[in-house]
Amino acid sequence: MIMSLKQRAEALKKRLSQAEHQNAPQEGDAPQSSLGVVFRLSVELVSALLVGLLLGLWLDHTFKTKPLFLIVFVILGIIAGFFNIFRSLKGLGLVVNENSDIKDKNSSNSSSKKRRS
Amino acid sequence: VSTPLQQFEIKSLVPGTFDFAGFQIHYFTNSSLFMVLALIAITLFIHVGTRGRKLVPSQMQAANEMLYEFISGMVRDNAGHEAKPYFPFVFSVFAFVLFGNLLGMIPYGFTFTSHIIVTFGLAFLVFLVVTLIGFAKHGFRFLTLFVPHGVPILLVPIIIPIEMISYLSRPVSLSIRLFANMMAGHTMMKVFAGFVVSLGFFGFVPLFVDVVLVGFELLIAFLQAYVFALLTCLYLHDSIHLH
Repeated sequence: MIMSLKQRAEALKKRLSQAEHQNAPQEGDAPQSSLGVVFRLSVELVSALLVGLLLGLWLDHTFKTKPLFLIVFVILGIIAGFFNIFRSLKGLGLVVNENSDIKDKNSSNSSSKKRRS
Repeated sequence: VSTPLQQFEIKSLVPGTFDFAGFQIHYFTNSSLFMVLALIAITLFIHVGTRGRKLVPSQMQAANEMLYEFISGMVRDNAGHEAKPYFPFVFSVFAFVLFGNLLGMIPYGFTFTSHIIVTFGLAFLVFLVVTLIGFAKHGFRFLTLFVPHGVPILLVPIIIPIEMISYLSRPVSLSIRLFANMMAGHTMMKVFAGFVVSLGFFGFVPLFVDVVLVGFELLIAFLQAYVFALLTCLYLHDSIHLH
């Protein structure tokens, strides 16, 4: 009897840890409005561009190569900004690609629809 | 006539300045006063809350326990079990930002988180701590953070500077997010408060809007502190686990 109780406790612990694992919040779990999301994305873009701009200006100042590094790093900053946007979108679960679970959800939805029909 | 931006003015409370690195610096301003007040409020809150340590908690103790469990859950879920030693850091950052935001909601108060130099200082501290933890844990293997998995060799020379800019933009975006949210909200509140006076009899309409805005601002104050701490956790996760 005691053994079975222990076993039940073990099983419950396992289920609890599984449930906790499933419910672990992602980056996008912050209760945010769509306005908040849009603001966050714009900040990501602008901040990377700003860092690129300042790095370019600083390198030009130290090496006396006036427009070269500025141009290169502003372009890199824009790319990095879009990288940042892509990353935070991924964190929010808004990116559709073959590896994400969005597809799984869609496929399960479609299958359930099929079953219903 | 006072402007909506007057609330952000820095006033020196102690006469005189001193020179530091070519800048004239006030000894004690209203900004520093409210930082000290935030620290006192946090200390009082935690001291009063943990004084009883009863099995059935008092209100203050329950609030303390909620705050503790909220942050420790956030650290555990977003940064992993290995991040447990850094819980006090995340907790301090969260409490300081939260109390700074909330103290700014008191009439005649000053919101120090609405100044970008304050938020940038906090964000840069987070950035420094996270980078140092990464180097302490992994040594120079930490630099592989800048090369994502599965990148073709040809793209590596382009990816590395992009990833470095992306990494360096973290404190900038972290500070801009907090500062812009706080400043925009407080400016909006004061603009509507100005309408109350200028509209005369119909001033009750913007007054009603302002009441709604105060509630909204309280939400933003909590939310932005949460986002700040959450992103700190995610950066900690990156530097502990590398990807």
